[in-house]
Amino acid sequence: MALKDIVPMPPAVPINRYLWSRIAELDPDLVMEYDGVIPFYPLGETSAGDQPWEGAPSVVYDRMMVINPNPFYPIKKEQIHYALKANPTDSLVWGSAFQYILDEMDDVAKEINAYSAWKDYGIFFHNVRLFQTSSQVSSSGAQRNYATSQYYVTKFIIDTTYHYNDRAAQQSL
Amino acid sequence: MTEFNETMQEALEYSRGFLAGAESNETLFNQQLAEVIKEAFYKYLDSTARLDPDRLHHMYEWGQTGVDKARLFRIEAFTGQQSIRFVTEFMQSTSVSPTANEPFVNKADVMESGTMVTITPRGEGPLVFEGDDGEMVFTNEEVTIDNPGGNVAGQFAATAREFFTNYLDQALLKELIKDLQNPVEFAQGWGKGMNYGKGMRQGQRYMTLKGGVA
Repeated sequence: MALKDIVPMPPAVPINRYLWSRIAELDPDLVMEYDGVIPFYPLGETSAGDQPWEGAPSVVYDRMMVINPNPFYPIKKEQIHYALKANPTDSLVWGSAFQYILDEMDDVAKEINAYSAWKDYGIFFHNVRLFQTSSQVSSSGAQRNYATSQYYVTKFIIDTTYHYNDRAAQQSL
Repeated sequence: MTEFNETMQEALEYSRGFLAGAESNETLFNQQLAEVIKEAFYKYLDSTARLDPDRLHHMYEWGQTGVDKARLFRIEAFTGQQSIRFVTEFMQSTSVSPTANEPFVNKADVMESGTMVTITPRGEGPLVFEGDDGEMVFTNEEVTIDNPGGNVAGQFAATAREFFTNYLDQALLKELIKDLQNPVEFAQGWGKGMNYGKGMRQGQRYMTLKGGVA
């Protein structure tokens, strides 16, 4: 049994899969353009700058911070930093979609748990919320200007509370 | 009636103690909060640098954008009973760029402020550097760089502003204020045996940050 089947998944994995599945429900044609790839990457691409891969919107994410919110240790709180790389129109549309899908606190947590149940990620979400940190007309404070930059980076924080469960492989050990 | 008076007296003493305890811990609370905000600031800046390296590469040693040990900035907090003030400062770079043989010591400061840099050939030899097209350039003339580091001028300040105006409120302070509006410590100490001392201890617990960031 491989380690990856035993230890719980980081929260970004089930959140990304759920988010992409909801986008697929809303716009199946959009998902087809990605040819089976979920465009959420856990690493940066230094030479790409603001430009997304293949010119299509993509997201680079980073586990930013684990917060210990209360003395009950098993409950974890984590913030995941998302950078959406897209042109101005897609920035607005995708940002709005993220907010529409993920900013629902315990309701969306239940949906992610239900969606992930068959995957056995070993993680149970209590709540999920999302907020944008860079404004729509500026990227990190630099004025967005269509004449000089065709692509923008829009940043979001996904703030989630969760606890880990034993996975099936762990229980069978 | 006497029992009622005694209970009321205990409740008043407990409440007074709670307020005194909370007030006595205000400075400590601000110090704890400042430490959490500092740590969150570093995490936010490092993460932003990793996600969007074009904007913050100048705030780290060469080739180590977003790495905590390679930061060329630091943040200090000054706390009082009623206030927390933050000051950031830039540090000098000690690493050498792959295309140079000397450290660009004030890299962070110069690139952040967008100061124009003029490089003069030293000694007998020409100035050698890689041009925009990737070809090596040899010249005996002075070279002026209008925007060293690319379009990074002001990006550290902008990201710091983003942290304090957009992130901090939504990510940390809102929840903290929500917790403070519900003083469970007061209710926990309420009941038999309450007095000024117990109130003070509960007040101090109330004004102590629980948890932290990692």
